[in-house]
Amino acid sequence: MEFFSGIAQGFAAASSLNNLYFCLIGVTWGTIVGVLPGIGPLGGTVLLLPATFGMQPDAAVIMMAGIYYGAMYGGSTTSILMNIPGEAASVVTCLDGYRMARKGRAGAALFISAWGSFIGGTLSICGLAFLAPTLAKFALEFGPAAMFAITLLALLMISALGRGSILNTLCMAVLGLFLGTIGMDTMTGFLRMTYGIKELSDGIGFIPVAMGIFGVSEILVSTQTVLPTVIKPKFRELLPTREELNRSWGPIFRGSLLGFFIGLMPGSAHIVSSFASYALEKKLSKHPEKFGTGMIEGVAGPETANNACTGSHLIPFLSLGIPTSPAIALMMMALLIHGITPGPLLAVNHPEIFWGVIASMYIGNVILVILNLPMVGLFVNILRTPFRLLFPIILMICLIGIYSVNASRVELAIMLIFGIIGVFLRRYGFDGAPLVMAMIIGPMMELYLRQSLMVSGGNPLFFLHSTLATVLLIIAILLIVGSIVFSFLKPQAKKVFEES
Amino acid sequence: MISVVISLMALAVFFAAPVGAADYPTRAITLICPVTPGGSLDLNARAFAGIAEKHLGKPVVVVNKPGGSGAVGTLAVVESKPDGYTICLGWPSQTAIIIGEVVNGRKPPFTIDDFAILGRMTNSPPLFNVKYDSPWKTMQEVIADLKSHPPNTYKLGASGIYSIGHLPMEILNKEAGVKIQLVPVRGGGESIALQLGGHTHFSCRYPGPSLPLVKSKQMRVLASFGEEKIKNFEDVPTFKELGYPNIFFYSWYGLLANKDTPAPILERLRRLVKEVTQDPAYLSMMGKTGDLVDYADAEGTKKAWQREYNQILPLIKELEIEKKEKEKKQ
Repeated sequence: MEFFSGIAQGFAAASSLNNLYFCLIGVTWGTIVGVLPGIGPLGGTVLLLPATFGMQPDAAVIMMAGIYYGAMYGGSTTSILMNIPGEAASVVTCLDGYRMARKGRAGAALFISAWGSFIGGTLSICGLAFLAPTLAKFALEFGPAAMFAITLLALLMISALGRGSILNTLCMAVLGLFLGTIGMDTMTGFLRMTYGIKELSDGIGFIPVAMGIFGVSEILVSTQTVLPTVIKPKFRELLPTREELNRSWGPIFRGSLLGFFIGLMPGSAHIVSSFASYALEKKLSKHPEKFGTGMIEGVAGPETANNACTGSHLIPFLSLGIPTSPAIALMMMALLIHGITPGPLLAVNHPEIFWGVIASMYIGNVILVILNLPMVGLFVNILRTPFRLLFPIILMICLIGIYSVNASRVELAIMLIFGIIGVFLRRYGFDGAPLVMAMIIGPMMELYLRQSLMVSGGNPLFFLHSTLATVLLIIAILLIVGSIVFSFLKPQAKKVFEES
Repeated sequence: MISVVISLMALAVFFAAPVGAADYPTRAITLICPVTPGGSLDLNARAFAGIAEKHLGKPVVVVNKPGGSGAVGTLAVVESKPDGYTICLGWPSQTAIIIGEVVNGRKPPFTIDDFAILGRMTNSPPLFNVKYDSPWKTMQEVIADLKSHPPNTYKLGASGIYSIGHLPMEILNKEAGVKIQLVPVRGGGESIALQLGGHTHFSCRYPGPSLPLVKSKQMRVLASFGEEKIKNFEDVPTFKELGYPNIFFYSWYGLLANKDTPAPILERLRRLVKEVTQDPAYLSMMGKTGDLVDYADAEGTKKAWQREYNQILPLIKELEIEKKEKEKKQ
């Protein structure tokens, strides 16, 4: 009963002209920030932070939340059109989305991406509204042991990202793990392989690496080939075919569930969610070998998942007052500055904020899908620009984007160096995606393993204290054992081994 | 001929009278924040910048330059042009960076004397937090428990080695003769989650983040590392009152400029810090986020910084020696 009155109150609050106005600003700015490579929702929120000091608290949080999930919509645009991940979560969309664009299906990819984002976001908000209190307690279960198990599982799934031979994929994954170790060790303070370069003490950032390996290398490779004439898309080609739409429902549904569950994890949930969805779709598909050549499932699933995790990611914050990532910490600060204490009593003391934010997220998703779907045509027309003009502009945007985050020349150098490395990787049939993913997940896994061991006092059976961790680790073991057994049963798999 | 005249005129610009205090500032000032956006240091910087703009009449732009626990951003001001248009934040992490290098026999990237100190804005002591429904109701119970159990039984979550969340724990360990184990976490949010989930027992959390947690009855504050009672936590005993006068620690946010900045500009900037910390808008904002505004002028800040340096140096030295002994055994 209280739920319905709450939701009604929420919609009333969210539909006030002031809140609608700031919701619109938030989602639009979020989309722009998502499209611009380099700067992410955190940077975008920080830029608007001074404006929030003078705003009403509910409008401030509505706007900041809008930036957060708006960025998930926009991030896919540059991934699909230019093979540049506009946002960390969109790295996976580059794999099939860009291939689709090259085949002339950019409009369909953008459409399905926006559509999936809408469904994922909306379902996630419903989940948030109904299940917040129950799930909040569950979210606290994600201690270091469970997080270690999840990152281990994610690492096992990296093989799904590769297009070529398994051996090449694994080489890239190992290289990514190695690159991820560079930097200061959080536990002891030792500097690993930084060679005295202070900027490397926080590690080689994966954003410059991802933009280098995907975007910059794409541009460099294109200078070596004669490009096909610019595609002039017709209106009918902008929309997905009936077949593509039908194939997308499954991934969208699965992506929503997966994204929602993974969003409960603290930290960089959206990256893991899109990646997990991609791996899942590839495993479930009847044509896994076609992934990486332009399969719509590889766009629909991940894009839905990264939007689905925005709703559940807010649960620890709205229900318990715990900020699970820097962007959310900013929202918390915005509330504190207005004298509102986030915590379990937020729903009771300030229902207009609690329910108002939830309702406005729903409204924001509607606004975003209305904004993004018609803009598909506009974006696809960017591809009509002659490549000799388009590529230098993209390069400039990448450089400015990277510098705008940390004002670091070292990161610019990293991006360009990895761009060149990316050219050689492609030449010899290696993929960048496993490298980037391993770079992200490797350090996370190491941190959680060591945290778990510290909490348990050195006991390697630390996961036994957490049912969640034990279950996940059993799944991981089953996956490994299952794959080995399977490979002996399937003759094709044996051939792959012999080929590499 | 014309080109010679033009070149001479162009050169003349460079020899024009240097910018005096009357002209400063003529353009936007860059405030370097040596941490990633979103943390409380970053927010303090932005709050300061927002109010400072009104007093200076020119924009104060916050630029984040994270890296090396703050070394990268701090170095940027040491290496910048001494014209007063680049300033950066000062806070205890820099002390830890300097000491970390010195005790290992290496040259630190900068020292306290490499800066012209402009002043201090806030000064807050950390508070010893436990989960609300944990068995401890007073600090004495905690210390008794720590002493009656083997070392490293109880864990404390903090972000980063020798950070402002970790150093208080080591001070407590040393002066009370106990051994709490550090569990490194990434960020305050993770520290809260780990503590609420029962994975860690304690944390040294600052008044800002502590206040909402205490108000919502999720955490309890058992002791304060300050030497006097603090606002909003008047019923929390200080370690001094509990019989440990050597246990104290403060995290402060101050402002630093390049040491060769001309005197008139320094004077204007120092005055600025005072003006901002007395501005009611700034005070009201800080009052809500919980950080204690405690203005100190350049001299006072330097004294406090030196005192902190002298307190932390032997502590880290001992810890590093311990670490090396442990490694030798392995």
